[in-house]
Amino acid sequence: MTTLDARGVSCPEPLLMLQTALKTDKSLVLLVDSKNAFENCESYARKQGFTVETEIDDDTFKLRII
Amino acid sequence: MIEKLKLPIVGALTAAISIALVLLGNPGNMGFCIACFLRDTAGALGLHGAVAVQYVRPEAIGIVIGALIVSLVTKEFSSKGGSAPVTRFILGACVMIGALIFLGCPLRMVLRIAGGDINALIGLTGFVGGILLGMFFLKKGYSLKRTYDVSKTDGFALPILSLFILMTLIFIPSILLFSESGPGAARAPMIIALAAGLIMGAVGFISRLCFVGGIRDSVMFKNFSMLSGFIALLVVGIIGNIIFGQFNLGFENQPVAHTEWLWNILGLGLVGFGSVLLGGCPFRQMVLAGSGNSDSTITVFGMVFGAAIAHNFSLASSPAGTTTNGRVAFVVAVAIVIAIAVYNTFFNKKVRTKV
Repeated sequence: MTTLDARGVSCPEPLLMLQTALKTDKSLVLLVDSKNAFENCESYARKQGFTVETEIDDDTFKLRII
Repeated sequence: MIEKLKLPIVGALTAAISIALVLLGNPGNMGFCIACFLRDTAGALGLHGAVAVQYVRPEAIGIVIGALIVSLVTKEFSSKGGSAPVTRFILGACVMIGALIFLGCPLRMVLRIAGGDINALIGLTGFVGGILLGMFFLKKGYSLKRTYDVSKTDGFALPILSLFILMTLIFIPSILLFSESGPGAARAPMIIALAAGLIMGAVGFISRLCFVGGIRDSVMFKNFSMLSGFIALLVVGIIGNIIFGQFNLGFENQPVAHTEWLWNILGLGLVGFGSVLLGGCPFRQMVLAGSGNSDSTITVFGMVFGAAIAHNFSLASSPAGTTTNGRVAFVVAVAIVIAIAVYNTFFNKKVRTKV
């Protein structure tokens, strides 16, 4: 499964990365480090019909998007 | 449900607070304006010599401190930075030059429209155009690269500086400059202005209100939630202005505004373009700076620098219109922003995203 590391990049780059990746990947892991990016990406993936499992480790939000 | 209503509520609250500040003494349609407030504060600190726009705006300080308090309470305060800070400083200065050609930041643009100022409505087209141009570069891979953890002295820099300036305003105002006439002399009572800023900083942090984000996310991700805040602000602003007799539909005789439509469009176009490259509008930059983002702090410093040069070199417009210097500065600023966009889209080494 592809892992996308979107930690530290400015809004809206994490969402843009996710949007682009979901065009080719049916499942992926996304790493973000802000609540803002996490909420935006989680909500976007769910709206696209994906299931999102989240793990929070220190500053990193790990989203498993299936 | 509450989540969906969050942004419209914040938009409506922003309109209500802004109208109240104008009724209590702020310049017309300037309940809030980040560009104007930073310019006035720069003037009060003697960074420029435009005597009509010198006053430490407590609203600006309040926004930073409000965001700081909420981010500390929610444990979201995070000292981060290092994503092309010098480039952000320059972009901040260019955004400010655009804002002072139009005479207002995106927040004041909406407040001006809500006050019936059609010049701002025309300017909105430029703002949208600038955002679309910025989005073109974003889609092509524009990035200022990653932020990293930085020292807490970076994260707390703007909140502490803001408190220091506030203490100066309260205890030793004699060392600051105060306008005796003009927009800088029109001010709501200090304590109310500070409270208004604190509320806006707090709700701005919670809701992530961003005037660039509203339009950008609607087009890019079909996410209209941020835009709903924008629209609520406009609707409540129009209704409130009509109720309190502040609504004046037309082009002429608008408060702190000029009627040069092309320059209103171009000025806001530069603001929109630069703000997308920065990742947020001037209001959002203030809120992020309050919550520890040192890249946003640098951006705010860039905006203050932009305000200072805009007034020291007669780049800023006035109700009489734009200046020749301002028009030349616009061309230079646009060239700089385009160069930054092109380099960081097509020539800079890409951020490695696949692990």
